[in-house]
Amino acid sequence: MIDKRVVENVLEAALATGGDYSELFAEDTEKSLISMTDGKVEDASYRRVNGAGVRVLLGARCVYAYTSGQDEKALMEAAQAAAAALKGTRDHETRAFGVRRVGEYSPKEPYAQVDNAARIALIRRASDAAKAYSGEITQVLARFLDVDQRMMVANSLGVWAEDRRPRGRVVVQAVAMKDGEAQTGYKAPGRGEGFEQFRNYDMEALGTTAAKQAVTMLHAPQCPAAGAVPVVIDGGFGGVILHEACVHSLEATSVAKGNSEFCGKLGQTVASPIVTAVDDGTMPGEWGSIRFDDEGTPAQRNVLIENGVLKSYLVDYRNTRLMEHPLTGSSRRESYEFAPTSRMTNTFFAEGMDDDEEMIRTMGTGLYAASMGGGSVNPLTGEFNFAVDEAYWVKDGKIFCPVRGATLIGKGADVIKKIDRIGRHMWMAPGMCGSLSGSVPTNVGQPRIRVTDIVVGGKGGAL
Amino acid sequence: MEFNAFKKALFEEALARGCEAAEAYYQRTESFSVNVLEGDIDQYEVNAKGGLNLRVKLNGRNGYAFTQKLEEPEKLVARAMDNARSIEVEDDHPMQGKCEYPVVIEEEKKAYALGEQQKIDLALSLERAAKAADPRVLRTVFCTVDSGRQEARISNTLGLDAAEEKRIAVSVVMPVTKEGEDMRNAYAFRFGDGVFDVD
Repeated sequence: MIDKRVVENVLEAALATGGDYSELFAEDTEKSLISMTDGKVEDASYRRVNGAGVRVLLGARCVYAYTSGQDEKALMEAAQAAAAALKGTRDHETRAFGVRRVGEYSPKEPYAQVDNAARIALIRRASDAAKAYSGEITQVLARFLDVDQRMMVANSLGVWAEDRRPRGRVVVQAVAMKDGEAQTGYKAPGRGEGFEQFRNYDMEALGTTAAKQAVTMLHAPQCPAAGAVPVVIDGGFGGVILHEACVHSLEATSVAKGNSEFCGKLGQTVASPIVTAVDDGTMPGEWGSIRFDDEGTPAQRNVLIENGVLKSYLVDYRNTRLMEHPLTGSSRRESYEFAPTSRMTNTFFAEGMDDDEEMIRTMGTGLYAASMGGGSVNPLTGEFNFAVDEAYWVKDGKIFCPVRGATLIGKGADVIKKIDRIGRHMWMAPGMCGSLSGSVPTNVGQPRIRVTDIVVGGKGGAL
Repeated sequence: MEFNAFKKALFEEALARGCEAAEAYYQRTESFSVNVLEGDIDQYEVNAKGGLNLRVKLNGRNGYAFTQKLEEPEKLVARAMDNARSIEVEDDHPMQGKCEYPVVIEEEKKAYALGEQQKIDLALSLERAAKAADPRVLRTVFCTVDSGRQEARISNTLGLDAAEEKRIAVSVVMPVTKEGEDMRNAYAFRFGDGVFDVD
């Protein structure tokens, strides 16, 4: 991507004014998006992102300069601009590239070789199936997104890493309406692979499932404002609570500066003894997986909480200068426009021993959250508020009826202490996670779990 | 390639391949950002980026493709044309020909003339003010002063050729407060000469 001689000159120039570490990250990324509404393609776009960023560290102080394009002149100007911030004299030298890491993944069907007609045909199958499910389906949105990122990163410690990261995802959203009320259903699977992944997708089932969710919720009564009740949260995207309300607070981005409720708690019990939480960037083909992070450190499986005890944070190179903690292969960024910081990859509760049906049979009265939606969280405190896209009221251990408009409200650190059941089958769902270093693809996941009590919000009365 | 050469190559390729018209929208941004923490610079960024969005008109429909790599014009044209063939709705934003524009003189703001050291000093004074505001303020999560300049140029095969420039300055602070074991945060921001409103 960039000539070795140019990379060496850039890293050298960046250390001219006293920095003790320099790094060059470059990418050439192609993205495309097809959007379809009610079977008609409304948007078809293509973007090529091409540029590089130079980072200089002096202790924990960070200077970052980026430029679009990758010609030598622009890169040297970026290096000199970064160095100019430090105003010192050269005190460190670069090392020869002794560590060279090259990712060996190559997609069978690269997205650049797939024309729009193939993308459109795929999502049209889901769109048609969703529309055909019921006369109450008034609108179907379908999208195809793909990204193929070629990246390289090199630093003054002698590390050189380069990789290719293709990702593709389909999105189906169905809207059901009756008497002025509307409800939505949503499915959005994706993987870190080429177009070949979609040969195995049952697009019709995807569309039908989204439509069924919308219609079910359309006919559901409002969820009661139940207060603190037992809640069973289904697997897959149910892991969003772990992601948002807990593991963001385990990223060095928060911990290193004392902005986390989990600061200083390594080795302490922070969760129920049946809880093990993992962030694993090595899982082949998964949406959040990486072979190396954006500092060139190999991805790894990080056990964050083991049997309820806090074992690890997620830490990038800069923050190891503030925390005594090993690197965890967690340094990520949206693009060359961002300096990297510690982020998640594929984050999930590990499988437990409990039976999915028993969880509901013995829960008494409460809520079964079959499908979680979006929400918000304050990473400083872990306080969260999440919508439940598909929920069922449970009475005396039996599913009583679907309910709409349910929300879960609480604090992440409290929820993980109150988990008393974890199922045996874990699965994950893709999403995009936003933080200081931009938006990155991550998986959230879990088996079905039960929490002894969470505050359930809603607008309805007793059922 | 430089912008004008790339634009020329794009227009020639698009027309040769059967497009009725082509348009290039180019935007370049230069920016500066400093975040301070405990009286020192925590993160300092200085950046420049540009990108070109190509629009082609093919069989009455518009197709778009964007690139930050001003090379391989044939590839960008091919993607824009594939997008034009794929879109099934009318685009009610027709390409303009040559236009006349009124002159707009933007009020010059003192904040745009600040040098880098002055912006750093402003961020440091903002942090001091935040911490002095109340004894329960522990620190700031972030305390930044950002500035930027954006240049945009649009031209097409129908005769349109226009350019504009915008500037921005913004400051943001998010303090963390603590009382007992309870921690809270909130944020505030100011634009333009509002960045001097530190208190």
